Amino acid sequence: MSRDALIDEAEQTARRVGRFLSAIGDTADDVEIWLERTERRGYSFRGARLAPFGRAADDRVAVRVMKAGRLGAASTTRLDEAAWHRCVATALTTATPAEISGEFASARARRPAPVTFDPDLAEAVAPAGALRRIAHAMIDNTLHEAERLPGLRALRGSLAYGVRRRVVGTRGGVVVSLHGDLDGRIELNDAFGEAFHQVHAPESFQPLALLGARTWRTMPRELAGPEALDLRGRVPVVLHPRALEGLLRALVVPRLTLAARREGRLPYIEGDVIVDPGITLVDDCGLDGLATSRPFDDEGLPVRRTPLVVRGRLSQLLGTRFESLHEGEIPTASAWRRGDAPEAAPPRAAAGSLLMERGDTGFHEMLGALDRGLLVHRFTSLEDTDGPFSALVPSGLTLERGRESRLLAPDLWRISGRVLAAGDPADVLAKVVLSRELYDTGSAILPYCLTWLEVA
Amino acid sequence: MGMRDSEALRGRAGDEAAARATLEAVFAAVSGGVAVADACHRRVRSLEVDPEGGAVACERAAIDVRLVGGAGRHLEVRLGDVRPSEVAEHLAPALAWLEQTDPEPSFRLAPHPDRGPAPAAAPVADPVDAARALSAVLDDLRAAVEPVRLTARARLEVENVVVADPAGLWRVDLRPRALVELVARARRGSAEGRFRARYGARGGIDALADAAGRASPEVDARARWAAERSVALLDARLPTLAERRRLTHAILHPSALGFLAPFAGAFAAEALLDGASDLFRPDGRARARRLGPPSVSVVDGPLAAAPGAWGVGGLDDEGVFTAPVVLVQGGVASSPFASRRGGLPPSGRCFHDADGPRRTAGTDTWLVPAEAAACRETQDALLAGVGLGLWLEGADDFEVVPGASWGTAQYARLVRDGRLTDEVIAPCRLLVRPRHVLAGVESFHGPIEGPFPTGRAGFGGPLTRLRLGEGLAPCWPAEVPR
Repeated sequence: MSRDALIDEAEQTARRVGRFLSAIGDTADDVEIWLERTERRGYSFRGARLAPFGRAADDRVAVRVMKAGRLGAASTTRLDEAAWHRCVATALTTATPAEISGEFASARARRPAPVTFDPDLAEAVAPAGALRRIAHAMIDNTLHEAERLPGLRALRGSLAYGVRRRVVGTRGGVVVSLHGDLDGRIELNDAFGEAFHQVHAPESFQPLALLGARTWRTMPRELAGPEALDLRGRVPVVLHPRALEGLLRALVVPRLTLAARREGRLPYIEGDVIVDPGITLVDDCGLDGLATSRPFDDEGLPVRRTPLVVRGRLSQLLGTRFESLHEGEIPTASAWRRGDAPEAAPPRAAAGSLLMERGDTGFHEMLGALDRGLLVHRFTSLEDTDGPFSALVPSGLTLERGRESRLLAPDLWRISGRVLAAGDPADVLAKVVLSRELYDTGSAILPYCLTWLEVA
Repeated sequence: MGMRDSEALRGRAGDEAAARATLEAVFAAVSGGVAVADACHRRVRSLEVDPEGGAVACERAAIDVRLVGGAGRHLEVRLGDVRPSEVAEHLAPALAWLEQTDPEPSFRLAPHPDRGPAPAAAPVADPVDAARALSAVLDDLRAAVEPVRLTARARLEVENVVVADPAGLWRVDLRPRALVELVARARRGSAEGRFRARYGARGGIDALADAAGRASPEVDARARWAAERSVALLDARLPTLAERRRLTHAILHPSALGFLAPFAGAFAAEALLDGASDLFRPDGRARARRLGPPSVSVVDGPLAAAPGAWGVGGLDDEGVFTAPVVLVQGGVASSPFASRRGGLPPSGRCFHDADGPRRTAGTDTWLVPAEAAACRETQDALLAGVGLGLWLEGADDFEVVPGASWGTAQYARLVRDGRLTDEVIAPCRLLVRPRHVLAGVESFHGPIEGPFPTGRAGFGGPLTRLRLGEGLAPCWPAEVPR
């Protein structure tokens, strides 16, 4: 679908939402409708075989209603006013007393809006066969490099382009946004991978076509378990920005919310030192070119820049609009509907696009200072916990004598530590060194982070 | 089905008529453009009550369309909840795309094994009608376990599935399911003990509540179990390094057999078709790999000895009946899951996936004793000879990584010199290597219990004694979680 057609379709949907809201009358005191249409197509591959996959007209619609102090919610996957009216009726049936009565937000978008859709990228991947050619190039280049440097046993990956249109409507207004992104991933020998994420059209697709080949060329071949290096106890660990983002999103940000404070999971107040004074962390959905940026949140509030931590001190907490009203705080426009069925999930406060200020140590300088340690690319099994966490390291490298040396055996490395535990020596973010270089993960802009973690 | 479930699902007849109109539009749109096509239309109505007491009623639908063109080109595309008049517009790009895919001359779609009509599904009540009953059940449970704090999430859903093809296949399946997830938190000072339990069953609100609206005995028992374990965990300690070194065995309560879900994943048809399975050849024949002793079998699907069912029964998303599949027979890998893709006789295990095309997956996977000699009559007999071991409960969410899976056993007690002690051990992470885990199985005791739900699948079995080693290894964080 062309850019003009996409914009035209989104505007038509917005008009339908407006008509629907006008037709509600006094059936409900107030109504909010959230709508998302997704299209995605691409290929996954294992070895040289491409398997296509696609989604079309994947619609999610969530409706919330307020009536006589009760709040109800219902959802559908049908882009159809009759279905939306049925949702209103169902939501009124299952409504429960609301903690905060009142109205939904007047939907408005941030001006200027961040760039979340690039028509040049949409047009570059639109021609029939364009994605297939890039996917084949990724595979062919990797296999060619593997002829030169043997040892490649398993090659897996995917390439997909998706477009989303999002609409939030309340009686105060209707807002629309358009999002498009290209995502490429490659995994070699089930032990090491690389990813490519773009919202803007790149000058060339060559870096994507060479993603696997370059990864294979630079990837160490030897696997190492904890015994091989005799690395036990607290060891220096450099967190790749993707690993740092995983840690922040799974363990830190969920506690920097009004809900966490209300549940007693955040024993700090604004101004307390909670992490290393070198850390300044901001949630800014207005950043251009990140897949998590957007002009308005899922309750229709214009997004803003929210400093979560400034020079190590707790600055502000994320909250949904209702949570903020309940606590007497200014809303941070941080409501997200997420998960496999986002229309069914109530809006929860979460970070969008994360930005951490850079440090003053070069990345290679950071590695060069370590006699032995780890460079962690990714964590899995990170659970939101108030106590010590443990996580698996499916991808990373050992650091020996200041250089990247061996691959971490993917199922053998487990690390543990704590976060937001001021005064505890196991706190991962209590003392860190941040790199000068910033890295765009596709959803955050972060530095490399040197810290100390317990290796089991 | 009880009184409330005997009411007809609101709009069910209308659902089937709407699905028929949409599927006919799909087949009209692809007519002449493809050699074969089939489609699966799903409509799910659900009600979810969250821990804060809010309720969300959801209705969602989608169609998975499989297109097979010339030279084995194939594509599975998902359309959203589109009207019949919109189908052609959304399928046109897919047909163009099909022509752009790589030819795959070896691609085969096995014939449907049984094209006859399926038995009519029993009517099920609309989940939304149970909103009040569900909230009352959760309130009852919270009150029953005080002062332990219980957060509860419950979900009722009815999935209405229609599988059809242009040659007249028309299969309808109605899948009612009820799930409750309970998290018990006990507090003493700053210490907290936490234990999560789930109960799931095929059925409507009657699976969770009795006629008087109180929690069913099964749900009540899970809530009390979670509460008791959370209190016991307040006194949990880490095992000493000396104890960790001396551990030789794990005694797995049926709720700790969660590794069976990732274990069943190794039997998926997709691995076999990609030539990535070391258990089966691409034509489905077993490579006769021994995975465990002759005393152990693993069966997926309906099991006569099982007390209940959670994973999908009836029909899969290709419209094939889900008969039991013996994955491991007497310790030897026996049968894989198979779908129509690849040309193998399908085993009724092909289900829609969140993102991609339909894939094979397990339903309820059971660990089953294959020899009477391996079954011990008493718990003491099961524990006899264990110098130092771990009794493990509540390990259900395993995450798969290459060659292994990781889960958390929420509750553990020490077994010393053949006796179960009162020494409660802190929750531990379990590293399980599916290829090796059955090799450690030594003996069993008690009836088969379960299924314990994990996502869309479930698992269960008897109390199982297993030797620690390459197949199963526990480890602990640096301190006891509080």
